[in-house]
Amino acid sequence: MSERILGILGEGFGKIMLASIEVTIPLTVLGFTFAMIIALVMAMVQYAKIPILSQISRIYIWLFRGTPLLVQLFLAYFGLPKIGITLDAFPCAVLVFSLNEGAYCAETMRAALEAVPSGQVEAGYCSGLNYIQIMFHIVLPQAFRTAFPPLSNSVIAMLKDTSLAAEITVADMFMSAQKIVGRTYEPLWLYSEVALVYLMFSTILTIIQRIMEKRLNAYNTKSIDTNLTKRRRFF
Amino acid sequence: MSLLELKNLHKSFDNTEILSGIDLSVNKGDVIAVLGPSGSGKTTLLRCLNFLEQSDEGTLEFEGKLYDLKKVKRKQISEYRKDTAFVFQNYNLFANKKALDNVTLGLSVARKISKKEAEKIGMEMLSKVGMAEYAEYYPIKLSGGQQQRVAIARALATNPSVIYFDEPTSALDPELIGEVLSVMKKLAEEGMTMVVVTHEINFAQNVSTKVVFMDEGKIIEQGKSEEFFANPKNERTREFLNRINKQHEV
Ligand SMILES: Nc1ncnc2c1ncn2[C@@H]1O[C@H](COP(=O)(O)OP(=O)(O)O)[C@@H](O)[C@H]1O
Ligand SMILES: [Mg+2]
Repeated sequence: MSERILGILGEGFGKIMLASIEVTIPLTVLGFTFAMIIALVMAMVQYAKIPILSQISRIYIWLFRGTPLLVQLFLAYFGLPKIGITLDAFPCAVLVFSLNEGAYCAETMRAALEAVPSGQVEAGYCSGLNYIQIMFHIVLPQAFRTAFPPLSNSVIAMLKDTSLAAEITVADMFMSAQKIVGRTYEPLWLYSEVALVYLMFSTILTIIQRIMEKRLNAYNTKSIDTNLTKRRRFF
Repeated sequence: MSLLELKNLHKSFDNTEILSGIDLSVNKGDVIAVLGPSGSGKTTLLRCLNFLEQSDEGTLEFEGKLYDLKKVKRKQISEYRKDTAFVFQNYNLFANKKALDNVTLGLSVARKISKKEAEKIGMEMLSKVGMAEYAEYYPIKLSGGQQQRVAIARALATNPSVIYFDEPTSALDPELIGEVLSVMKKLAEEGMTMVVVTHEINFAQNVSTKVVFMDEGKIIEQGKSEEFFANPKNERTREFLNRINKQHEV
């Protein structure tokens, strides 16, 4: 490896990390937080079978899961100004990622809520609890446990998808790599480098997921299942 | 003294009448065994009695209050449920709560009793069913019989006037049935009012004070336990008892 490449990689690393702190991480954290809030509301509205709101929730999920993320980004950033709604690139990306991710997470949460045995809800009523108390103490904690692995996958997927925001001029990690490529003509090295940084963040998230799952496992039957699959792998 | 007076309960599912005019009266201290073939509506009756199902018609008088079953309000239901308890066939323990928390949730959350007081009562109830040493166990770590005993402790904790049991031993392995039945026998001896749907003929014969026999959504015979077993009057009751006795001999 020549000194020039080393120099470029060194500069690249600094710029990519800076972009991660300024853009990629905030975009992921904000996007996922809003997505979870949206998802919880949409899932609980459906779980409680609230008329009209339930249908609105289904339509929202249908729209945002049924169209490509990149198209949604373009529509919001380049399309909306035509009807007088102009957003800066970063808030626009946060908005689109929240809505897009919210649709997927809503489905995850809804399935997880419905997986809590209805007998426990009835037992809650018979113990004198009301609907809100049952949700808070019995249903939601179990639903979160069930939803935790798929939600973790969603965060990791979203972290990587934030690279699409570069397409609407958001100066994220990927864009900072692209800029240096434009100047140095070293796509192999720089795109490898940015890929490694994404890999590093994904790995950190995976490790956090493992640790959290272990802590959440106390009452969970599935921990037994995973042990079983670990032991018997014949094929 | 009459605790509960059910009159003319009707309930249909999808236009099929499952309960066709049930009258039932429960006195304080009664242990009523509800017998009857599978599908006769026993579970539905208990579920209607605790408003887990909405009835189509009927009235319920409970502790001097009158409930119109087809248009009972949410507030009335929750008031009624504070004085009753339900034990399910498949226990339905809260999977995310340890045994003790299963027992105390109805006290600390629903009745706003202090955590300390709730835990004191909870431990008392767990001791009563012989589960005190398992207070910190999650349901998944307990056998079926142990789970059902925790469920009974949970039912007892809120000091109900009546406990409804829906086949509390039917999901259990044979060797675990005894531990649950003996807890229920102890409650009966202490004067707890219980309505028990069961196939345990020995329990009906030796523990219950009254027997109610259901078939096709109706109560077709009822009476004091001794009389019911010594001298069943209805043809279908006799058939049912014969069938059960034969099963026991095999
Ligand atoms: N939720 C339901 N929807 C439709 N049919 C039901 C429902 N619950 C019970 N039934 C029907 O009601 C009848 C009585 O059921 P059940 O009360 O469970 O009887 P038992 O407890 O005596 O075996 C059965 O034919 C059953 O199929
Ligand atoms: Mg039944």
